[in-house]
Amino acid sequence: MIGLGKIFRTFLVLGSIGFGGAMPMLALIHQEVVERRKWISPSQFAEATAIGQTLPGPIAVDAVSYIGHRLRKWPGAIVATGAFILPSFVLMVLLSLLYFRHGLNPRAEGIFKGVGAAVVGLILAASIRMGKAATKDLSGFLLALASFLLLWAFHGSILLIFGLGALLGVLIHLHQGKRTP
Amino acid sequence: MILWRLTLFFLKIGALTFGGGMAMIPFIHQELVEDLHWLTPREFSDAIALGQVTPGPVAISAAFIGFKLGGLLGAAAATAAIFSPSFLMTVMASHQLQRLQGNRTLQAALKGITLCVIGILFSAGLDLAQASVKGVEGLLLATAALLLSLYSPLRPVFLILGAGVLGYLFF
Repeated sequence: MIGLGKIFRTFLVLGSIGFGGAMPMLALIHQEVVERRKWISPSQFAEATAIGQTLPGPIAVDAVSYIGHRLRKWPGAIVATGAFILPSFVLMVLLSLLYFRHGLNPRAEGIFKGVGAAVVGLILAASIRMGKAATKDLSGFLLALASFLLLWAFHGSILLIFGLGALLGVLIHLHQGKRTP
Repeated sequence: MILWRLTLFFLKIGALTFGGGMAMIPFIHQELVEDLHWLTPREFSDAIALGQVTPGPVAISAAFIGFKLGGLLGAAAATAAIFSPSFLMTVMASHQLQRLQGNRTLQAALKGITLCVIGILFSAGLDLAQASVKGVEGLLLATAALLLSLYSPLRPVFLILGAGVLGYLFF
């Protein structure tokens, strides 16, 4: 049985060096947990990824919780998830302290303008990347477009938009099922 | 009181971020920035930027927001709240994965929600652009970040740091 201390240290390291979104982090976790330590099999790792993509929450964190649970049930899940988040939490608290208490917030207007513009670019890029992966047909594209307009032009409630999206997703599915039995 | 509302808010966000951490952005923008004014657009943008330059998931931006509203305790509460719904669901669903994947209706509903996330994320990006993309140079930088993020292997952390340096030097 794999020790909780070992699980803690492994995911603490992974949480300290994982940058850049779900996929790069998943690749890193795969390298360590599947290839190097052989704690879980490739197919179990695929399950971890699938569960991360199905359930809400950051995909890599969900995968880590799943792997922790595979290794040592609830204690494993808690230790793995906690260790994975801990480095970024500590760093973020330190940065927040500097930002709000000691005025690190970029007084140089230029830094703010540069970073602010890049953040906008990254958010739009994330949306486009998801759109490329998920909108494979016209109905999907229209649903994404409709939710955009509902929020942007009408400031609709996001929960309501999600509810409509879920309903339409099911209706489209039923319709397609009828067409191609 | 604010700690309690903060915790409830991030519990809700944690349960609703379908499709990865970025999906939290539209919720935070609509509720904390536009409706409640707990956070200025600039602080929100900086929260996301810091979430990208720290390791780990971008959802850790919740700690920054929690810290502003409730100090260390606020940061801890926001972080615990945003991660715990999906943690509980993941562990409880870990034996049900095949049933979840086999449930066509559930998968169709999730697909519908994922498509909505694409639209609302784009909307939040445009709203934020009004607050934080200033002038031609801002527009150029935002476009460059978008294109580099889509078509180059550069990680977000380098794009953010690079944009900060460029902004400091030239804006």
